[in-house]
Amino acid sequence: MLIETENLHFSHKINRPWIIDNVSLSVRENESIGIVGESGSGKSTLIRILNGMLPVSQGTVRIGGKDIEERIKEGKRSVQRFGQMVFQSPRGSFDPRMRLARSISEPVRALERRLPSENEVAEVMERVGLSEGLLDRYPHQLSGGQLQRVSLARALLVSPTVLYADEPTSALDVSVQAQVLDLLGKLREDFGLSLVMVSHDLAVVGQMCDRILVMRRGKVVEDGPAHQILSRPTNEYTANLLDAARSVSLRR
Amino acid sequence: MLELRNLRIKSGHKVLSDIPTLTVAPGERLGIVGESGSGKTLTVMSIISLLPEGISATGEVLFHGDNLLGMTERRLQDIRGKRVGVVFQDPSRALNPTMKIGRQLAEVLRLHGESTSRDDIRNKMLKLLKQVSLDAPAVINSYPHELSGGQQQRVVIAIAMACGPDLLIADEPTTALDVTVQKSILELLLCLCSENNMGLIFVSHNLGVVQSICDRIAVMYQGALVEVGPAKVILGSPQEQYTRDLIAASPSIPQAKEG
Repeated sequence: MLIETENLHFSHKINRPWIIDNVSLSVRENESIGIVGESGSGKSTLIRILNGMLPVSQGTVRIGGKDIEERIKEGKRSVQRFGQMVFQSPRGSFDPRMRLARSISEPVRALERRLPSENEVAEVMERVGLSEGLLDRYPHQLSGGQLQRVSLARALLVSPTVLYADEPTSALDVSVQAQVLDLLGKLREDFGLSLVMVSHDLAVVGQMCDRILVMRRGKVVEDGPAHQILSRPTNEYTANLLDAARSVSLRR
Repeated sequence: MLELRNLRIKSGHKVLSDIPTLTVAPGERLGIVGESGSGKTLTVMSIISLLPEGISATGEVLFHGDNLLGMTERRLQDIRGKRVGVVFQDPSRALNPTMKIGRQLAEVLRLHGESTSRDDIRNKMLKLLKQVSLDAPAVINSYPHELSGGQQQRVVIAIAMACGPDLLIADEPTTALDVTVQKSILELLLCLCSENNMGLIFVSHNLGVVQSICDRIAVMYQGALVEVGPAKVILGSPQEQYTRDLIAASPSIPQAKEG
């Protein structure tokens, strides 16, 4: 099992209110999982715990077969090489004063104490469909879609096993969103990556993920194959969410 | 009711958007779709003369026959907020964070409404908040940050509806909201339009949302009007390649199987 949590709890204060309330889940190798739910349901908090950005309050998290707390004691490196994160706001993900060439090499510098070689950088840029010349520019000189591609390239440079994507296309136009989602699917195949994607958009998750977890108030209320959740949800909350999503998604 | 004629929006000599003609009839719901930078927002902001500094519009914006472009600020104020309501994307920025909701709503009623008596304004306020399905007495005494995003947007809609406008302009009003809240706000807008025979211009990049609320759709691309027509026609048999691309890019959910 790639990622496993057992009775995971998380709170910003000492024991409650639980932001993550007794979550047990598992992610297999090469699997793509979508986490959906309304704002405040704990989706983003959950993947931040899985990526070591927030601590475990109670319960256990194992990544790559090893307890996450042990990994953190060894140094955050072990956790961050395992999983890399792509965030919602491409602009917020880059230092505006740094050229992209420098930004893109930061994770490798921090985790491996070296600079990525020109070949490595050229390869990831090609994989995400961007010209290398863009790396001489500053973030404000690129479009949101281009920047999101650069953040994918930056994540790929450290060869992670899992990619955590937190609403990676919510800030993008619908046509750009389609391109970035296509790219994500392609990268997943090329690099054999597992994907854990947070989104409030059931249509996007349905297109990208094999499995869907539905969260509400810190709990996982439903967990199953994507096609099943989207056609025959068993939980009432999931059914409401689906009904709302259908009413605002395009009927062809 | 509203007719745009040769509306050209410029920044210096650069033409940002050019619309030969576009109309909205009373009670009609027009959706304007297109990608970021296609000129959707500029177009609707030019209708109420709220273009950013340095950007100007030429042509005609006829509202019940009067040209709003070049109208004096004083006369414009009579129309803006009173006969044309506006709802923006981010409700938290449309409300004053230091003022209770009741005071903000009363301000609009005092400025634009006929009556100034306290009881009258309070009654109107309660009626308006009820119309947008909010718990009126509690909301009146709340600050914006004490309300959820959906509740805030309902308040903004109540403010826009305060003087019974003929036309409501909504610029991505549900983009910042959760999908369940989105649905309820769209239902509310639909209901307000039909109850008051109010026209609606709804700007969005989301075709699904526009499909659910509009009877006509205008597609914009790089400042130009690509295609205008009944929603069914635009989404069912689009004539332009750009519209087809936009439809192909929109994610959708398979509909539930019957039985």
